[in-house]
Amino acid sequence: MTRLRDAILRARADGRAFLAAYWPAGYPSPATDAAFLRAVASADLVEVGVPFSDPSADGPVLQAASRQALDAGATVQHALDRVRDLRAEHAELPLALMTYANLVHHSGWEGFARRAAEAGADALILPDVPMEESGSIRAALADNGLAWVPFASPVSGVSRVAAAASQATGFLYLTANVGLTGQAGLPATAEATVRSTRAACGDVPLLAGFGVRGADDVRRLHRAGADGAIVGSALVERAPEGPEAVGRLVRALHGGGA
Amino acid sequence: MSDPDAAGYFDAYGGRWVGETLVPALQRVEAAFRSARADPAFGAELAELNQHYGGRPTPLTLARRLTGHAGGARIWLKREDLVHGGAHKFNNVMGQALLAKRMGAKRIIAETGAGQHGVAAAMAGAVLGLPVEVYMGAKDVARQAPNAQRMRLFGATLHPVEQGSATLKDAVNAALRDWAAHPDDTYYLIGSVVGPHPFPWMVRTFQSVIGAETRAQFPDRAGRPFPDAVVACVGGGSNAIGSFSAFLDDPVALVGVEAAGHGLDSGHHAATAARGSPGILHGARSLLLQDGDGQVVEAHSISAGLDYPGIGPELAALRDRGRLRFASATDREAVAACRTLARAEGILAALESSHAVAEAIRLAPLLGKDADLVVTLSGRGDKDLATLEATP
Repeated sequence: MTRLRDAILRARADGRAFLAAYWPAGYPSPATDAAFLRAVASADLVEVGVPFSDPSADGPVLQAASRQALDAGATVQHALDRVRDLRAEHAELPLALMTYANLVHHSGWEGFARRAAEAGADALILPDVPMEESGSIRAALADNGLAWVPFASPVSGVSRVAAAASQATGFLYLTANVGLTGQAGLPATAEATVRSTRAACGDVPLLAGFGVRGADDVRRLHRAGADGAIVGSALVERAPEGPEAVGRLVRALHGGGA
Repeated sequence: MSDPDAAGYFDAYGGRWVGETLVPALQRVEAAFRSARADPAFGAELAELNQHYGGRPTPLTLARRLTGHAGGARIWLKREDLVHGGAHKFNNVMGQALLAKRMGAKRIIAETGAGQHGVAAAMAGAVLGLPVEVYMGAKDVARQAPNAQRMRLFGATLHPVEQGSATLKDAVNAALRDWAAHPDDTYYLIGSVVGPHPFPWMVRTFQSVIGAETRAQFPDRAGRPFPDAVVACVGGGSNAIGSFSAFLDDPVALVGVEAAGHGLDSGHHAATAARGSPGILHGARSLLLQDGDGQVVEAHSISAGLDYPGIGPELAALRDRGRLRFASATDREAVAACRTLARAEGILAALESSHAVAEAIRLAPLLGKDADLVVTLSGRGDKDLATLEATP
């Protein structure tokens, strides 16, 4: 339950930016995704995506990746198997599953939480579950020792950020952009958004994403008060260059807090 | 059914399953709707538009020759095909567009399947002076070309959606993504009783004019207080719940007709109530067509407006309560009913509405000659001429 949170707080104590890397299980295909997941495992947290047919928070890059993975036969069980593989290779690496509410609801909140815990996941991230709907899943996660990651957005306002932060047992996920994953970059307002979110969320672990493309973005978010950054689309865009290129980008971003 | 609870649920269905960015926007829409609903000036402005721009009330037509053909209950047609724009979509669009204006929105976005809602939204944008952008599946743009042309003539911008199945489901995703990127200045004018709270409730409220008129017209026309049954087609379900809501406490059978496509067992249909299970899509918990993992499957119907893998949460709740019966009609049955109605009455119904006509023809002899049955003709069929020409 606390492995993820503890890792973020350690990075904070060390004064360095925490880096979370997202990769969709089953992409480019269920037969070839393992090398990419291994390549992103040099991050501080790996978010394993479970492809969904209707990814409403994703921009074109991750929409296409989900579609391709599903067309190639990716399943929920495949994603859980990949988490199990990562856990076998990295006993202490924080691992999260990221997907959409329906896949979890369909297994049953409790059933999915149990499967995720058995696979070795530490946390669950569902971008279409706001705090008003999160009661059942948070209870199921807590019962199975998994952490919950609520969202804050630039338009949330102080009281919603504070309320979301109070539910965070993993970290608070700030979308630095309004809108979708995979944006061209951080907006000019990113620092102001991080600062106001930090002011509202206190010392809760805070990571920011949606538009992180390079080490400079990680640095900007970290200096403004986030504990670190989350990168996804920028990694997935490198897939044609192979797992080594993806791994190089993760390492480059990792230097971002220095 | 009464209004949803404070969290937007009709029994176990509904809610607000959206990204954090959209929650404040939905809260603003809900507050504006609650205030507009209580404001007599808003009601008067909408009533004025409905009557003098839209042509309401619409007639309740006794279909004498269709009744003779079916051989049973008298069949009455609630003529939403005669509303301005040619479909019931007008009722909801005018209500929401007035709300958007009241909220100071700078632009309106909408999704559309058959194009009827997109056309209505484009009309509303023109008459109220608001820019409208419509997301429409690329496959639907091709099969409903006249509606795409009408939207452009009314000054709307059309965005064909190539993702996923390139139909209504994907158009809703695209509109939700646009709104998530522009939550402050944009109003999402959703076209059916689906989506996050307060949309299912608000759209039902604006569409309930259909059933309210029918209930007021029927005694004078038929000489008895209530029809025995009201029949309407169900895609998302807005014309159905609009037709049913006035009769929920009356001794009237309510029948929703889904698209059975190539047949309920073919794997190519849009019969969510018949073959779906609870799930979360487009911001609401309702019934869904999905696979064993919970991936949403592609619906199929010859009518683009029924080609949707979900239904509105209130309809799902009414089904569970046993207040609503669901039937279905195949592509072939809908086309046959469309042709039968055209020859018997000189009325060209939309292929969506033709599903309800097919069930009415089936139901009439079962109810018997002393009974009365109302079918909602949700739209006219001019847009379907190419499909009808191409279908033997």
